[in-house]
Amino acid sequence: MAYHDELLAQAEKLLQGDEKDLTQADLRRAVSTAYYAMFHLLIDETTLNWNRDSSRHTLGRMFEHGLMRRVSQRLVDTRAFAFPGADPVVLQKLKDVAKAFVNLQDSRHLADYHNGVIWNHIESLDEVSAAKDAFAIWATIRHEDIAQDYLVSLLIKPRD
Amino acid sequence: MQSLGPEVVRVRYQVTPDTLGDPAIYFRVVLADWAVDRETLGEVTRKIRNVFFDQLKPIENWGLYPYFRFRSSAEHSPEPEWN
Repeated sequence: MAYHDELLAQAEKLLQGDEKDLTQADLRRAVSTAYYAMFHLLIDETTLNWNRDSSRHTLGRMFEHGLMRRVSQRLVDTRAFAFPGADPVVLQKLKDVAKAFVNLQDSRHLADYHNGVIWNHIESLDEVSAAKDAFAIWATIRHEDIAQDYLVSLLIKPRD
Repeated sequence: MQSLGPEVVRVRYQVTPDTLGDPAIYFRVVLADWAVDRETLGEVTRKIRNVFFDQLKPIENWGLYPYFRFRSSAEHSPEPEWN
């Protein structure tokens, strides 16, 4: 099983059982783990395109959380990208993946660092479900040109 | 609210910077208990998020990136930002 799949499975596992028994640690770690599942999915999918096996891990270290978020936010901003000629179904799916990533990253930040934010079961479950949903959507578009272009763009600082 | 579907009981929002300090709007959405199912929750909330993105256009109209948190009616939510 790929690492990102293991992380997603771990996120789901943290929320299993009686919700009354779930601690803030379970709820918050589930959110964080779901985010990292998506983070590593996108990295793995990008580095798969690099021919040299031995260099993929090094390439993977180049990814920055903040840049990935900003690139993903721009993708859904219709003022920045019109995507003329793109298949609207594929485009919507790609935007759904990008939106999920952005929301998850922000939630992960809250879950990991903001102790004043209390998480409820459904909140955490939604984040994990969103990651799982994004994984499924990604699988249907991963070979599309605009999906591959998105992956590459995660490494490139947007130009204003 | 009607275009959000019967799954949505209540929506609250807050304009505040996101965790990177960028302009943002946070939507807190309370779902009907019957709409909360482990298997379909991701799909349900994705559709609700897209209604906000597509119909409100907070990025294009206000320069605010929207974030979403979901809870169910059954969950106790004493925090003022949820009520």
